[in-house]
Amino acid sequence: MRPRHKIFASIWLLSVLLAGCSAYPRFVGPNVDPSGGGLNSAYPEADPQVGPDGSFILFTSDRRGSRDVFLYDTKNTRLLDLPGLNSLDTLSEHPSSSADGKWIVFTADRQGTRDVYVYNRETQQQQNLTQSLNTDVSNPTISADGSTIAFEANAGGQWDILVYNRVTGRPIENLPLAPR
Amino acid sequence: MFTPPPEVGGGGINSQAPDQFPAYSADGQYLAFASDRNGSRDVFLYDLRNRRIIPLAEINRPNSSQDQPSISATARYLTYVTDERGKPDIWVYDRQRRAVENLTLYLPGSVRNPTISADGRQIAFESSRLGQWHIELVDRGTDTELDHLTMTPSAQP
Repeated sequence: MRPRHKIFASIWLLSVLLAGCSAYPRFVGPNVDPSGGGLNSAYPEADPQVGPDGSFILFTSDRRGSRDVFLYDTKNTRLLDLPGLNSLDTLSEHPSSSADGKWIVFTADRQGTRDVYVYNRETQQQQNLTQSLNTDVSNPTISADGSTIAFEANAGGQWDILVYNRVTGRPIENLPLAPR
Repeated sequence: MFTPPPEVGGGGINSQAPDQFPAYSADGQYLAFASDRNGSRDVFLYDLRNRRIIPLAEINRPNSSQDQPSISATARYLTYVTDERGKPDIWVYDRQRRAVENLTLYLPGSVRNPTISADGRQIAFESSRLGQWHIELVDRGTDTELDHLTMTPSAQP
């Protein structure tokens, strides 16, 4: 490399480094942690959901052999336990939580049947929200106060959005759905 | 002042075309989602309290798809996937300033499933730049005007 080119290369490199130091948006990851104790592992991760102020992230990962739901504490850079949420014979996807992180909704596929489940982090219990719904379901999302849950349901070969009351486990009444 | 054209083909959450990817705002007032109701994949914002669609004509382009929306506390910021440049990018739309920002202009690989924090500053999405899907975190910075809850959270539509 000729000296002049070296100078240009140095200036270019310096400007890139400076831009990287000061500029937003700042990219934090993906920093793969092979131990499996971090946000990203040596296995695929998917379906992130950021908490209200970015202090936690819900996501899924294949790091334990099957797709499971994980909760990552971004301030203390560690995983938080979700006892009883994941099970060996279940493929869990699309987690979403209330603002306080108490309620977590997700889909779980057990023997080929996928349902929307609601997990309570305080009692460590979960319940099937869509047991009586005879359609495939996907992409659940729970409101910040944990009161309502919206998800996709595939009735008759087309995805539509249903909104359920978490407590009653029934669809919200009087929600104006466009005519089919 | 640019006036968004009226939304055509369905004024509710569901239509005769696929409707997918629901996402709440933290105040419980809005549900963002994606729909094919206007012929191509677009993102929509539904006001649960006033029971109407909020037009997003500025970001729904006719020749590209806008998909997988996620919204901040009062739906000021909306992040979504678009193939406007021929490959998937994560964009953020500021409804107050009526401005879009492409977060993944220089990011190699593919991206999908963006999510934004209630305050609008943190965004996470899936990125394939390391050869498989991992989670990428983006801090939009100290200059980000934070989105705040202006009322007690209520998700009752």
